[in-house]
Amino acid sequence: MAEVVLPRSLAVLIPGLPHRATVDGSTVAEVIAGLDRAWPGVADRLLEAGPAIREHINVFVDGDPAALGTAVAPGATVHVIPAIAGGSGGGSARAGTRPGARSEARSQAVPRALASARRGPRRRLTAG
Amino acid sequence: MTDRLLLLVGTKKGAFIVESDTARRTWAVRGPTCDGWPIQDISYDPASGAMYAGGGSPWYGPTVFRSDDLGATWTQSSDGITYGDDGPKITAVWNVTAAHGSVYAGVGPAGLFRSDDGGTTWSHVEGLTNHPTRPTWQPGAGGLILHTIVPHPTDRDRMWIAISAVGTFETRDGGLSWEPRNHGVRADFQPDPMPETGQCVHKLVAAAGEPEHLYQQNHCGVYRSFDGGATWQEITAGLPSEFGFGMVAHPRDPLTVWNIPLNGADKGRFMPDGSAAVWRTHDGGDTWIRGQDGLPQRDAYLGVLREAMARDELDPVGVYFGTSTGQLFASADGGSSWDAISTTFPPIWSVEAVRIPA
Repeated sequence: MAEVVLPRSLAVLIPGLPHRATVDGSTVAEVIAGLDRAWPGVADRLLEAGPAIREHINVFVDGDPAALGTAVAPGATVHVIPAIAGGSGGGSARAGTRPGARSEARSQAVPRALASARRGPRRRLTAG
Repeated sequence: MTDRLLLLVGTKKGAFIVESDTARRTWAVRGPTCDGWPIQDISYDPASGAMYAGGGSPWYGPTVFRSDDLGATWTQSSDGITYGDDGPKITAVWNVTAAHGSVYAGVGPAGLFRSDDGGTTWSHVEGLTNHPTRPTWQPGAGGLILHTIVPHPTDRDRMWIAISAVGTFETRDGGLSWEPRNHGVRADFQPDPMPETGQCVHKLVAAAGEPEHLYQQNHCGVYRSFDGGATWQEITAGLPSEFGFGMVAHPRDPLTVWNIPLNGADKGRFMPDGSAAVWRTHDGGDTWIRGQDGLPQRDAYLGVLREAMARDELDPVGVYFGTSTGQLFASADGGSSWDAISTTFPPIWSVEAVRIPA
């Protein structure tokens, strides 16, 4: 089981979706599928044709950028974080799209757990 | 108690409900709803009492919102709005129209989806996507967008749709097959200015009580048809510009239509000379009347998008429009005089007027 941390902007769209959920799955894809079984409609908001994670949605597993096939170990924390964007025209998925936007967004969207850890002494964030 | 009059306003930052009564003198604003999503089109289904709002989020993709309590709460679903894993990505819902117990969604890249359960699940109307002219479809400045859906008032198997830079199509068999309906409409930006498809239709409306009588605001002029779109006659003469987006038809008079000319595709796309006006015809487009009282006449560089005009069903008819810079205007006398409801909305993309009985 993994703990999934979900953004407010997704929770308001899906009835009953909590900010934190415990979901079974050994990959990010399985975790999203598990979320969708429990709260129908989540997958449509996180995935696009491919299937692939939507371009401006970032997923991290234990603080590392992840894709659908990324392994999720038991007890891992999965963060779903909308990319930081703004200042471009709205109403289109092309808003904020430019070469390197995805990696730039990941560098900006640091999970809160990592941000607070970095304010303290440097320590390993993952086991092994 | 008097009837309520609601203006449904879709904007870049959510949907708003602007409420008055049949006097149409004072207005109260609720919103933003739909969690501030960009809302391309918002509409009302009188048969079910549901509101629908279609849009696209840069993060979460396209969806259709539904409200059963006049906008107080909303749900959303895009279940089935997809071309499949091998198909192009759908970026936004550009039009949501309810008709004959179903709900239709026009999307970008251009396609049509249908729901028979009030927007919970959707199916792809493949007959349009698979039209033999599809390989020739090229996007317009705003993209390859199915932006207008005009159902036949009584025949549920007939419908017209419009796609930017592709043209108008009609189905007579519930969407299984479609025919282009662009004969007589100019496409001056094409090598052949009168092609079978490739016209840039901006808005299509049906005349009241006459199903075969249509009007369109096009990139290259204003037109009318008396044969269900099989042939079109240009009626641009008398207007200050051939270009514009919005158009609405009178609820009872088939010869009355309102539109808002803009100064040209490559000239800024704002009201000509920076002087705001809404034009109307009462003779089917033979002549046009400029309505300007109460609208700013100087330094008004205002644009109005295709879904951002509406009319109510009162007498005199109320006409409404919202601008892409967030101004919302209303006329309670058929477009002769105007008042500003608000000048501080986000960019307005859609306006609909709904009368709710007391």
